Amino acid sequence: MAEITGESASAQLNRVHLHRVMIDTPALLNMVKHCRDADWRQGGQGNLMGVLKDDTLMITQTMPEVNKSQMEELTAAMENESQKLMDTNKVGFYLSAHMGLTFNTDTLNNLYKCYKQFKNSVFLIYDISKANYGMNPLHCYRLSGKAIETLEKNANTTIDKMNLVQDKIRQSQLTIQELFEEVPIRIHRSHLLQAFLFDHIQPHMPAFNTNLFKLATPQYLCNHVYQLNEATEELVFEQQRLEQQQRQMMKQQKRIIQKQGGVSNAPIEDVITNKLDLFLLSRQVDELCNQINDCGIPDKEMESKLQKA
Amino acid sequence: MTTLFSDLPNLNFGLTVKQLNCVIHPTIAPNILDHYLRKPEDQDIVVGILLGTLDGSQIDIFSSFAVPQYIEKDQKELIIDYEYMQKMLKFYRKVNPKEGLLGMYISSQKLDYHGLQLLTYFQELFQSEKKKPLISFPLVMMVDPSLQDNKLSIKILNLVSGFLKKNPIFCELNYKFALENYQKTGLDVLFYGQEHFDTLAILSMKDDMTNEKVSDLMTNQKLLSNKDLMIKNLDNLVQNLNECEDYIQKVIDGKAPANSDIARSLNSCISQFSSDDMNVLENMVLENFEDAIMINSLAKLQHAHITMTEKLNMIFAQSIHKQPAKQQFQQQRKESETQPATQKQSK
Repeated sequence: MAEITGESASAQLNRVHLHRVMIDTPALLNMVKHCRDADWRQGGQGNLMGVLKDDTLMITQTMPEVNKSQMEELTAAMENESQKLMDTNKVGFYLSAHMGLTFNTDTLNNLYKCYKQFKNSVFLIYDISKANYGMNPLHCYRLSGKAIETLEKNANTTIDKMNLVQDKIRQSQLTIQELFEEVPIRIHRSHLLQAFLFDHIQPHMPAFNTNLFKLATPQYLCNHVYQLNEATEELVFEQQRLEQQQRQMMKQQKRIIQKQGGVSNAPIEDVITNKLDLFLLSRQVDELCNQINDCGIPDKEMESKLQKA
Repeated sequence: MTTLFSDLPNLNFGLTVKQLNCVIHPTIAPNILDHYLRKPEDQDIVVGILLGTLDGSQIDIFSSFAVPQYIEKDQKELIIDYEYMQKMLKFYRKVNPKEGLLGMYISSQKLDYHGLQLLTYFQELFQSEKKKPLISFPLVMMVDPSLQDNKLSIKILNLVSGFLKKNPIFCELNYKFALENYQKTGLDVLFYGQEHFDTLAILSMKDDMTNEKVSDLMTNQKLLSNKDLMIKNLDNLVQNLNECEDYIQKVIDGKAPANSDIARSLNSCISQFSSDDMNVLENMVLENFEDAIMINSLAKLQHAHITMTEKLNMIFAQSIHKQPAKQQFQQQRKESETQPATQKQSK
């Protein structure tokens, strides 16, 4: 386990630019196993453990999440254990999803909580539907610097809800795409693992991922279009709700002006409306659109390869 | 004097051996090797527990976790962190209740004094009903990370008779790795998801790689995007087909010796598709391609719609923000117009 030196210790406390996230093979395989075994409705969720080294976040362990008390007990046992068999520095969390449908308030809340404990925390998505079709199922995101500046806790302390208000969005010029920052992932294979793969696994693996042929059927795109419809409906509903709210505020402002019998200097209170749901729903729709565009069509290079084959 | 085979005593008399086949999940060996790499320097071997399921004569080994242990040098006593093991067992049972205790793993090619002590400990553990083991004696999975004979050897032993504690009798079980649905185990990401430039990958490549080239490529190494992934896989497919074609041509031209096994494999692969199947496949791909282009365009339209809505929202919010300033300006202008009128009146 890497020791934290002076420079790294300060990096742990400060947010740094992440060049990439490096995940160890055993951590990756354990994560995939858990995501696959988990209930398809709830999905799998777990913790990422590792260490930050310069501009690379190294994920060395992944552990499924069970109830809070058991996790705390287990983490304490691992920390107290003399041989240090597992890393215990939590650097983020992972979750499984279908079609990347994971940009919601729960994920954002979890990520923000992780950010408070570790400034460079990330979350990994393992997309089961993509893996079934031979696509890249792993993506890593973290909150962008702009998003962190913009997000603030609600002044009402009884409601622990995150706020994304218009004046902050305007000040930081935050866009939907900039809410989450994607970080490239690299898989690391140790020399012993390479020996294992070379001797026992590689001779039996096909030369290419044969699951890609399933893309010949329209099933993948049909599923995405269906989900896109659902997500767009929710987005439109949210936009209509905000529009109605703005109209009410405008009417209220006009009444105030008429009562005062002159010009009012008070700004219209659009600045306190929480736009978080709008941002997240837009991000979700954006993600689905990106996944459809990412199918590899149309592309001149792809066409020529198809013709050659 | 010759002894007939039938005259020899039956050495297996009294021993019953159930033929078990093991299927090992690909996570097991990497976890064991990772545990070995993390071991303290003064420790020779590492040990852990195997969990899985038993279905008739098939054993599926799905999970494993490390168990901290060491031998005290003075008294040669085995010390195991039992509490840690209990907590981990409880945790794994919660994560996957279907998996039960199957056995132990040990990073050694032979069972010496230390190994036998561990085996005795786990045997006693398996006798306890509270632990609910799936089999009466623990399986022993021996992994040799020292790579003797230039190979990572793996053996799974089943205890046949423990009557002689110092010389227990084992039988070796057949095993294989669960590779059929590689997308469910994560091997697809490991093998196809990224360009590797480590020793294993360089040995598999046909192009010559220099140290400088490798270090340059490794600085920006990352998981491939979907388009790059598809291009890479299709490239591999085309390369494989070209190799088959070249081989067949060489055999026809007499440049390479014919191999009936390869010929049968090629025949079984290619004969799966008849010309009618290929026509159907081509039509299906063309139809789906047009549908896919349409959906792709609709997705881009949706994407543009969201971007436009966002921009309009930003502009509207800015105009609202500027509204009080505009109103203030209008008021000042009104005041300035009324002021000269009052000054004229006073004069």
